[in-house]
Amino acid sequence: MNDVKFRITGDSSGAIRSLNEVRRGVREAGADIQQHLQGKLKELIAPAIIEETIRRTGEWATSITKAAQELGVSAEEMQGLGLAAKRTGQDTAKIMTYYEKLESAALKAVGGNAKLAQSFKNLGVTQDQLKHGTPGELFSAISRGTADHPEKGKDLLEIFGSKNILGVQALAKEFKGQSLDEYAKDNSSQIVGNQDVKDLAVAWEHTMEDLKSIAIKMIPVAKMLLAIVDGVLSQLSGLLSGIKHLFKFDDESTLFKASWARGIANVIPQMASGVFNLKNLVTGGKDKDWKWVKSGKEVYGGALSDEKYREAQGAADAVGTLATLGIGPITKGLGLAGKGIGTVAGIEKAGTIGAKMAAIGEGSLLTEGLAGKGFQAVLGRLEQSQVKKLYESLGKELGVTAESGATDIEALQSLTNEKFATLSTSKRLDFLKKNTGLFAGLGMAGIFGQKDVQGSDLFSSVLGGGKSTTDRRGNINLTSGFGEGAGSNPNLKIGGVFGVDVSLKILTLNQKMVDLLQQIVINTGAGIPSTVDTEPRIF
Amino acid sequence: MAQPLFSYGDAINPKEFTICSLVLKPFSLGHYILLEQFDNPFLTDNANAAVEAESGIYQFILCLWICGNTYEDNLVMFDDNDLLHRNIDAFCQHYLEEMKRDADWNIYAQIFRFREYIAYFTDMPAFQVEHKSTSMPSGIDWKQNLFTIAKSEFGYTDTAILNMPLKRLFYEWCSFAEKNGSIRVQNADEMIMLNALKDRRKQI
Repeated sequence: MNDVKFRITGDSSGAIRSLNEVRRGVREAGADIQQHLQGKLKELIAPAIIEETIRRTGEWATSITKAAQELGVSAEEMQGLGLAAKRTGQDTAKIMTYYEKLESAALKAVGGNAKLAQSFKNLGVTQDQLKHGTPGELFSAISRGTADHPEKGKDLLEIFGSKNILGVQALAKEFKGQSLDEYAKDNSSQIVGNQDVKDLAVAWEHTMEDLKSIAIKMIPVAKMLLAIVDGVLSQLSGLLSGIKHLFKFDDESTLFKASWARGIANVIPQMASGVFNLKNLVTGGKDKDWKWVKSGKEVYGGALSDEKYREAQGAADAVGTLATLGIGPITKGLGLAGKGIGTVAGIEKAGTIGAKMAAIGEGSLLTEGLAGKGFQAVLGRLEQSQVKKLYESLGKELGVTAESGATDIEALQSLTNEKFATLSTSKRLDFLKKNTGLFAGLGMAGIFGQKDVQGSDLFSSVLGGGKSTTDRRGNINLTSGFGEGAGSNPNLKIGGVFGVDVSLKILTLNQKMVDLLQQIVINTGAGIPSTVDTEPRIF
Repeated sequence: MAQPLFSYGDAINPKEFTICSLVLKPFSLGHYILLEQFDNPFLTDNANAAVEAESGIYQFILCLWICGNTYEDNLVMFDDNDLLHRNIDAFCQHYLEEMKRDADWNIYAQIFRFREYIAYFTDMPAFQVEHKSTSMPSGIDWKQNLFTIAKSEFGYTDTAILNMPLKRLFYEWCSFAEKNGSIRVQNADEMIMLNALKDRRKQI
């Protein structure tokens, strides 16, 4: 635009002044936002967003690659098909159906079905294509053959069947006689290149392999995390039995003759140390004086420094990272446990004893934990019948008839959560206690976390997928080695090994995420139109 | 009468773009200025070189965020951490929900859509320069020219200039530049002829 001379008439001094003001405003905001970009923005945007973005894109690349291989088309052509399906208002999955029909009809035609062979011929498919062509090539040939020839509908009907004819015709119309390759090229601005998709799928596969190796090692860790959550919840509710059963201690156990606080002091933090080196994270490594769970009255005797608090939060975030990147269910369990750690860290952050007690009693743990947002999270893990039962129980608690016409589980969850929120804190706890029978224990979060772990692809082979999760305590005891007493808990050794290993793995995993990000940015960064910043189109 | 190559109606009532659950405002000079000020790689030619890997997605989200608000709202939010925090939080929730809703969700599709959005609003009529200068190109920033002309010639307020669709600002600038004899905007017939000429030149 610099070449164009402008003749500015009138008084432009006001305009220049305004522009200067705009520039000043932007400069000031710019300095601030630069800081945001460097640090604040990363704090503002939840890591889960970035992780989920990577996960979904990695999975997408993998699914495109697999689907393309199945159909015998390139990744670009596969995306072209997906694009055409979307543009014609069809589900991408329908494409697979069309291809199956096409392949089946082609086989029959080659095998001697004269009617089908004639239909293919009418549509312009040669014998050679019929015998040796991939479904993609056949589809391209048919697309060319049907362009502007609505009379060939009966041949399409013969091949694809009456249920699919309209969809196939719509696709053929969208292709306008182009082959898959030509269509993909024609829409290249919305299609990721073959090599890029392949690279991304491979990178994602590697990440998943790493994740699996982490996950296998994480089995005891996952259980420990779940146990920690349960421990915290039991501490909250005062239900000692929860902890007792959790670690298979009987009533005569010397450890649990002492108060629940002692139990927590001796068991939970040491397990935590085995998980993510929380010992180091929270106490600074050498210090074995667990300030946040020392004993008795001193349980809440010390506040974490800002640095330690951040480190504890970091541990929780690390779990969260795995939670997001993992294969669905496993990580819900881990993620939930991570939140548990974060919640504990949150409590310890409270400055004074009074504030801490308040936090424990009425504040963050209750509102952020199971009795608060945690309840909603738990609802999200229940089956419809369980939610309904809870909903009806809540109705009784509130003294109202709790008849719900809601038929889908989400509506029911929402209604239940709304009702739960109307209870006072103490009533929430009472309600949870009363209804523990529904889920065989108060530690519901742990239960569902465990259920998630068991139901996962990664853990099912080890834990035995599909096992009943009505009582997760038994499950936790199966292989984790809990119950040996705090002093000789083998998990400490596991933790000593895995704590470091897992941390390193997570660091590696994060680096891979960064690489994936780089890949995505490189693949998509180019080609952003910037015509306004350069020369306009001059002929 | 020769047909125009573009529709002014598009500039007055532009298409609406929703990306990652955020309804974007029409891309405007204010958005461009902010993104450029923050060295946003999605607006520069050397995006590949400029993007730091880890910040790639953050940059994209920032792009969306800026384009989802008016120029003035952006400035207010950048100045108010709490407000920014609350709003970004809400956006993040929607972003995650959007991912869950769309089975084929991937970041490429979102970035393609954003490119489409930028391309739509930075579309400019084809024109030829009537009196091409032989002297050295002027060093004046094109945005300054646009702003100054919109302010002094058309009488728009700062807010109007900074928030109106950039497409509209371009189109109106074209009217002004053509009126004062600097450029000549091509019509559809001329474009057909020019394209035919180009094709012939290629064949030769």
